[in-house]
Amino acid sequence: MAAENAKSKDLYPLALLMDELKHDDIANRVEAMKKLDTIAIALGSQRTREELIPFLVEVAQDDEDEVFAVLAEELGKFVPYVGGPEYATILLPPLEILASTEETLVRDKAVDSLNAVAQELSQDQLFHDFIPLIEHLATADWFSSKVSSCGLFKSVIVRVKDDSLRKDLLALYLQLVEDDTPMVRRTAAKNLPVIIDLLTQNPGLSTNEDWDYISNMFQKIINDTQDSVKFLTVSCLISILKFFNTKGDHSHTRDLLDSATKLIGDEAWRVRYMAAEKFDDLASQFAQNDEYIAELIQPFLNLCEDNESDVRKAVAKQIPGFAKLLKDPSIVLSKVVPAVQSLSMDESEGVRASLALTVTNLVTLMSKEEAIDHMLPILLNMLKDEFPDVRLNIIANLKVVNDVIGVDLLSESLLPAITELAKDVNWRVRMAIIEYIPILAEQLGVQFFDQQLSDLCLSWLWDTVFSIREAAVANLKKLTEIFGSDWCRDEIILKLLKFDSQLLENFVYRFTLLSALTALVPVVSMEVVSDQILPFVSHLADDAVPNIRFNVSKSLAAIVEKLRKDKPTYDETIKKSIMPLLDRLVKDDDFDVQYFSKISLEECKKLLE
Amino acid sequence: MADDLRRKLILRQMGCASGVVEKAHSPEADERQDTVGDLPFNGRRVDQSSRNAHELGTNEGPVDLNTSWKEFFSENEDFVIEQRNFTFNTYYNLPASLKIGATVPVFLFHHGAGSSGLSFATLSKALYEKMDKACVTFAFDARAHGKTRPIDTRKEVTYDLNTFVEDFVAVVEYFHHNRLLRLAKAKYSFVFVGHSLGGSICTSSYTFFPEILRKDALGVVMLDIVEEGAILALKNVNHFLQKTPNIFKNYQDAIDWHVQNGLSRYRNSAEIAIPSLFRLTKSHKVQRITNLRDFEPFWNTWFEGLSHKFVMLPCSRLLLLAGNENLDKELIIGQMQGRYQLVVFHESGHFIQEDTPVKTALTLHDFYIRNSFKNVTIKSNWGSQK
Amino acid sequence: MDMDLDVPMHDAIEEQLSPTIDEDKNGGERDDAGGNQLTTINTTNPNGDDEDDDVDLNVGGGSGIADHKSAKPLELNSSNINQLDQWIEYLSKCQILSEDDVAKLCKMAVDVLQFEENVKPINVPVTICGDVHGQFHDLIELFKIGGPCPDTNYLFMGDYVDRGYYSVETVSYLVAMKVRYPHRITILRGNHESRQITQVYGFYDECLRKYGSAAVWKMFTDLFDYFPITALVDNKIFCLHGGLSPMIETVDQVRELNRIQEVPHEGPMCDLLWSDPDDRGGWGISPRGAGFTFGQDISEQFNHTNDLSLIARAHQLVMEGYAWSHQQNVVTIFSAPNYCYRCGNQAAIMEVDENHSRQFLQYDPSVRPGEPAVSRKTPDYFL
Repeated sequence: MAAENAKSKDLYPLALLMDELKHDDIANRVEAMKKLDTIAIALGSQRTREELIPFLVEVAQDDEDEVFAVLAEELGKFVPYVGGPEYATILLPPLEILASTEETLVRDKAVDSLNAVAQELSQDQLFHDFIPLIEHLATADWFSSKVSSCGLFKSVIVRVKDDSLRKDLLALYLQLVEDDTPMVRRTAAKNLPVIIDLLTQNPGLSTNEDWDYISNMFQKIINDTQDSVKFLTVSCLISILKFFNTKGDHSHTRDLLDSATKLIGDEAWRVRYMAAEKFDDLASQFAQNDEYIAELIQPFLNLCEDNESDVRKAVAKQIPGFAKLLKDPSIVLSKVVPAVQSLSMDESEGVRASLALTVTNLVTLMSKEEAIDHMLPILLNMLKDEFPDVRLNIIANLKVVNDVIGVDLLSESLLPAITELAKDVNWRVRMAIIEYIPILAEQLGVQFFDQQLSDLCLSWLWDTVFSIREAAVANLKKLTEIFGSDWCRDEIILKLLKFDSQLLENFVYRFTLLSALTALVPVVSMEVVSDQILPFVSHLADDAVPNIRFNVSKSLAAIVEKLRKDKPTYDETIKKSIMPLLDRLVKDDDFDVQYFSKISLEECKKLLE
Repeated sequence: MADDLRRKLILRQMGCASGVVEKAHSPEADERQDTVGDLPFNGRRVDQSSRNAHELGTNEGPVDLNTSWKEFFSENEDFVIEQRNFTFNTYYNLPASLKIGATVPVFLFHHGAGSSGLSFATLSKALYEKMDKACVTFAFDARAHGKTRPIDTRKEVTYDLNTFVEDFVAVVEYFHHNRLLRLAKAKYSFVFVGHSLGGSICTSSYTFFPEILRKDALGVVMLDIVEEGAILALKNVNHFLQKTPNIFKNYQDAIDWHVQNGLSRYRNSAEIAIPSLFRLTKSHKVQRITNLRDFEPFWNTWFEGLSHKFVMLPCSRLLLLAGNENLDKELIIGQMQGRYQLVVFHESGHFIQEDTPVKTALTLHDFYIRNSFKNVTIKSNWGSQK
Repeated sequence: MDMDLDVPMHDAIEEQLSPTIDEDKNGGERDDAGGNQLTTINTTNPNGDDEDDDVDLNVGGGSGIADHKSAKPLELNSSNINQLDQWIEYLSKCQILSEDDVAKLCKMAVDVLQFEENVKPINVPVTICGDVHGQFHDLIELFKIGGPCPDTNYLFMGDYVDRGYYSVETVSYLVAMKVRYPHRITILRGNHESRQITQVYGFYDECLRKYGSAAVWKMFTDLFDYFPITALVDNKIFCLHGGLSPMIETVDQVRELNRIQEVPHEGPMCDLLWSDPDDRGGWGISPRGAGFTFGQDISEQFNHTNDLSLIARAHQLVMEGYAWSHQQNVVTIFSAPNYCYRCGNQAAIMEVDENHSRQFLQYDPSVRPGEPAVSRKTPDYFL
């Protein structure tokens, strides 16, 4: 019996898998593939090697891409299931097949898995099995194999200590960089920085001969006829610079700077875009020499005026980073600020929003007066931008401005900008500005706030969209945490309780008021709770709408939680006015009122024990 | 189970896609049970069509194109229309008898690009039976298709949508004027049914029909055509054409190929429709008549704006789709605003009229019946309670 | 996994008054003894009286959720409330319940819904919503706009499933909310809450995809038979999915219908779920192939006869999310923004407060990372 059991258990998984793997519905086959590890565990490592892997090699040639993708991913985790690293090479053949398929997704997963398996391989296995696999793929006829091979060099390059073998590998990689198919060249160019970075981490390893190859590759890529290959040179260049900077070798920097300026001014906008996107990183590589940095100023300004808005959008974010490299503040004022000025009025809203993300950091490079004279007008103008994202991005990053120039000068434009956003038709814009209010309150102080913003904060409570009302309630709570209980009583609660009673005929308003007061309970003084909040909440216990009544119950629990902390003073209030109310609500006609009141009552009883 | 996979592998190595064969066979078997094969033949013609279409499928002898249509239509006639410079090959059934004062439904079919009038053969027959032979069904070969021929071969020929529309309008007018109006005085009600490109042609033709036809137009039916999908599919046509042979050893091989490749899922229909797409060559092979590549310069005119036009048609609208519902934006909005009727036949291939002739006939019949109520008062019990 | 191959993926013939092949109707159950399988066609007189049509094809459909119906409404206690709260928490993250849990949920739902009336009375305040169609994230957006249930009372007018990618999640969530808060939320039946329609427009396929069998589809479609078909807000607003029927002159006549069945292809129950208001007066043939169109005269008369202020209905896509017709006798509400992820329409809900003031809230699709790519297979050819 036991034996039979063991046997059927034994057979079950593979049989089931195979059954599922030939299911008509592709979703079932994908699901089956995802369970591959369970099955391998059930089979044990020997049968996994002898039965499952050969079976999977077959499957890897006869199914749909979705199934292949899962298989390719699963095999990457398979080393333990086949019996550990010593057997890991058995995984290479199916993965090699998958790495040669046409579907990119499958290939990428296979390459990832091959790299994961390579981590586990011994030097010996690496030389005997993995490097031949790379060579095999890299010299195949079909482009897909070659593409995959590009992603595998990183697993071996620094593990090869033999100079001539490493040189051979780089020679092979050069072939890929020179391949006829753009797709192969593109992948080779994309993976080159990874290889260079590995060499940078092992600075003693590579030889001059290696670098001849790399230099050769760089030249090929930078002169490629296809923009989609060429634009990858920027990352290669940065990696190469990092290598030489790490080694303290500046003999090539001049040449590399020339390459950099060439790329920045390239005819193809995608190349310029890439240079703009990585400008900060690229320029930092030349930071040791002020002259070199100076040579980058004009190319940088050209990017700021590029015809393509995507290029301007990319460079707009890089401005403070680059400006920091310019050690002379007068250059920032005379060259950079005018560029900022014109980007702040760019015709593309995306460019302006991108600029707004980081531009406020520029003020940290200036004196207060300079900031007031040069940056403030630009920022105030951006606060009036017609595109909400521009205003929001500026407001989110005002703290540095406040630190340098103080709030007074800002406030004049800030308020209209906030009011405008507070009325935006898109509720998510209104939401975004509400979320900035506590930050602003902290930055601007109570006086400014009371004069200008408290009415606005109350008005959000009556928004038509629930989420805005909810955020408005949370905002009041956060403000109270900042400004204190007395402020809350005078500026918020008393104003709320004086609210137009006619509007309270609408359930939504009563509900919001109840939510707001309940939310404030934990952050105001007990006195305010018992004198102002409790009477209003109690009064709503008789509301005609059940939804209000069960929220009164919830609110009462919060009030008890608060007041019990000073038992001597409030014991009577709790026992004489709150608990009887809850007792009554438990017997309400409405099921939900009963239910939530019961929960509250139990909670209160527990609190009072 | 692994054996099964291996079998699949071996089959694949042999270059024989097992799935295709199986797929091609099963629906055929299903449809055969409840359809044309079992229906009684058109009484008048049964003696002449001694050869049942079903028998044609068994490998004996060549297909006789001169007689095979007779099982499905009572008439096969050339319409010589000078002003279009074409002699159009037409097939039709007229009502077996005319009841005084009864309205006669007239179903006018237009096939798609690369097809022919006989694509509607099995549907026409099923519909004619379903309507108790009290209707007209009419199909024809469009220019560059089937047996339709130019009159003056020197004149330039174009294939843009407007040209097809003008042909259709001219052919229908000719039929109406020279055949229908000469029958005993009857009231007609027209339903225009187009498959694929034919659907686009029917939809666009509506406004070009003369008032006398338009006032009696009950509806437009499109079979498996959606603007967005069609325009996307045009990109694949070349690929499709590469895979599609144009010459076969004989008619039988041509039929077999279309059935095996799932282009025709119901053998009875394939046996009448497929041969009409081919002509005999001197070497006794059969060659495809229509060269779809000739149409390529005109593709951009075929479907543009179709969904909008269809949804806005001032008559009743029915869209019949095969496989999955794949409406485009305009059609989704139209459907969700209740502007037309949508029916989906899951198991059918693109050639709905060939793959599911009986169900299509039922659907057309009911579409006609339902919408012919337009002029009839709807029964209501309102007021009966007071 | 047991693929239920018994379920034929038929030509579901949608939007069609008549030609229906009988075998379709039973949601694929083959237990009607084979014999009469072949094409019984009901033609076509919309007011015809083919009695053999639609006779008990719905009940006892085999999912088992209605096998042990309770004689009184489900009583909520701490244990089933706990269970429901867990489900709701889970579902609110757009995760599906297990098949067993769906079975439990549907059984509980039968014992809630079977006791609701054909015309479900509803108090104000309430927020009235239209089609959702499996757009789960937009349903969550709807609650962000209108407020969460149970704090806000909701009335949904049908069409929870089909077309969107999350029909299972959407309908599971709404049903769980219904069972948990029966007095706070009402879910009416739409024309898509039907065995036949869901086989064409995605819910059936989605269930197969997500559960590997049709069992969950059977449970939900069996449950749909119990959904109420209309609601009456404070005796003044008549709410339903489609529109009026020439066979239904008074609200009381709705109360007399036997609604516990698959949506029929014709007759008053079909009309209530299928009809549309129209600019033309009187009754008209619906271009959809089912139900009727009705004119302003009809709406006015119905509202007058029944002392109503408004008919609120869904069923039709309206670009602004809501649309008045028949001089404010009828309002259409549609709550699936950017329908099918491509129509570009706004969605709306209608808040009715205690004083019967109405406020429409419009909204756009929720922002969410990575909308599932609308991958539509291009046909091979199309000529």
